[in-house]
Amino acid sequence: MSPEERYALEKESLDDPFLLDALEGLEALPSWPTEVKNIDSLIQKRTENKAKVLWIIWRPISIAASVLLIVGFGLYYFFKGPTKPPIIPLSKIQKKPSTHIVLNPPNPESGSIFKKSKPSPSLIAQSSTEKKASIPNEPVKEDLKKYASDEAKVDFPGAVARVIPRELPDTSNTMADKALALKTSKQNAQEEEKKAPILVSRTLIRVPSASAASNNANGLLSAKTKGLSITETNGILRKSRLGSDSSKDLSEVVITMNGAPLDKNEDTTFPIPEGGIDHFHQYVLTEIKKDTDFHGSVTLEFEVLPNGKIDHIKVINSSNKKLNNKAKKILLNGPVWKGSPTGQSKTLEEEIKFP
Amino acid sequence: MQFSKTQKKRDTRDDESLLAEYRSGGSLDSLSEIYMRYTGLVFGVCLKYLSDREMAKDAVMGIFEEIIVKAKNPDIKNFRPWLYVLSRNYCLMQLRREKKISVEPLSDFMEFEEDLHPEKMELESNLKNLELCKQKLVVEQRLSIELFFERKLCYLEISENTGFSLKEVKSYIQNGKRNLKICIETLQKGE
Repeated sequence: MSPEERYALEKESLDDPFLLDALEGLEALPSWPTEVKNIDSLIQKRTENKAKVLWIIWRPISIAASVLLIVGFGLYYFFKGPTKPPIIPLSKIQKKPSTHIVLNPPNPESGSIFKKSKPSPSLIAQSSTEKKASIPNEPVKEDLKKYASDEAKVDFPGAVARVIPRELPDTSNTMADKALALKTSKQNAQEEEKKAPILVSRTLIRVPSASAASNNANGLLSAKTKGLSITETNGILRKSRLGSDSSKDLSEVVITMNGAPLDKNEDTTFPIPEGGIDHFHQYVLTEIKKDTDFHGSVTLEFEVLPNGKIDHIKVINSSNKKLNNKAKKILLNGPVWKGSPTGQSKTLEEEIKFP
Repeated sequence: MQFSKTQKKRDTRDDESLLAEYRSGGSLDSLSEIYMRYTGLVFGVCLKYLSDREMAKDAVMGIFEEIIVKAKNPDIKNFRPWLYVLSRNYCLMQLRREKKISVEPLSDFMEFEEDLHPEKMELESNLKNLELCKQKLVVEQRLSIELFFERKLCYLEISENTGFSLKEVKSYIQNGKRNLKICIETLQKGE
């Protein structure tokens, strides 16, 4: 430091006690510039350390707070979060169409429904061995006519059958829609049941005459003719011509019953319970109402002997095994059947539904 | 390091601005910026009173820890004189703990008035009084004052010229200055 600089400092120190004391102290340590630099670096480190200390303190706190927040959100959604109903793909929803061949009695309160029956072995056996009867050419019996449904528009004599397909309704993805659909289907089923004719026996189709066959072929389980296709759709049999329009073709009618062709000369009259089918239906309804503990349906196959008695009762299908004996009892304790006028045993089916 | 107020400052912002920034919740960097401007002065003061280099260095760091807390006081108007008083008191307290000397620390907010330089007084009337009072001074004091203020020699040069020690030169100058002041005031009152 030059004398002039020193003089300036000294002159200033006369008015500045801070400077005066500092100069007095620093004069005793010639290396004071180095010492002051070291002190400055210590102060800078001290400033950085304080920031580090704060970071060291806050870092674990911030991590702990983040973890607690995540755990809290997880617990909240675990216990109270919105839960979506499981989505059931449509492929898993099985449609179980079932077709029932039913007659159309005017009293649908009975609990029995006709079902498409399997071909009767006895019937087939009889058709192959016995003399083939000619196709009767007689008008439809009155007791059969009254069973015809207005809907089906049965003109064809003996044609009293119609098919009521049953399908499960379409279901949507959501549980609410599915429940509504099921409810609707139940209601529809109930309405159909009300409308549906309740039959006791399987329909044996009387082979119609050629002239009658030129009209609607309603009532046939299935009939295939040359150039004529008869199919059933939603309970209504429809006739459509494929080729020839000649009524002569209808003389070659082949009656099938569940796919098994029958001899056209076979007797197709069927037994009727005493008192008529209405009376039988009323009896069945009364019986099933007595026992409301179990629910389900039972399909019985039985043989009506020429004397009208019931024999060879078999359970073909049952949704509740506990109802099998009950259904058999109902059948056995029911009205006596009128056997076939031809003196042949007839195998019939009956489905009894316990609501 | 700023020894003199007239020296160029390292940072464009003044002490009050940085202090306000520190008080408003700013980082410690603002306060360290101010303090590093006066570490030399603080170190010198600590050296003067503690007479030990290591103790003086520890005292400088200790004073910094104190101002971290005390600097937040909004009553501090002027940082530089406040820091001097704080440093002086800290060193005196250190001495009091160790040597148990009865030294009363100064108030932190005591301000030192700047002594008026004789040249700043009224010229015409004061020059006569000044000459009269100079004659009344002790020879050593008069000689030291004349060499320092009139010839503008530093303490070292005065010491070399007169043979006085640096401490004696300082003492003569400070005492002579005070005596001149008292003498001039007395003459002015008499007038």
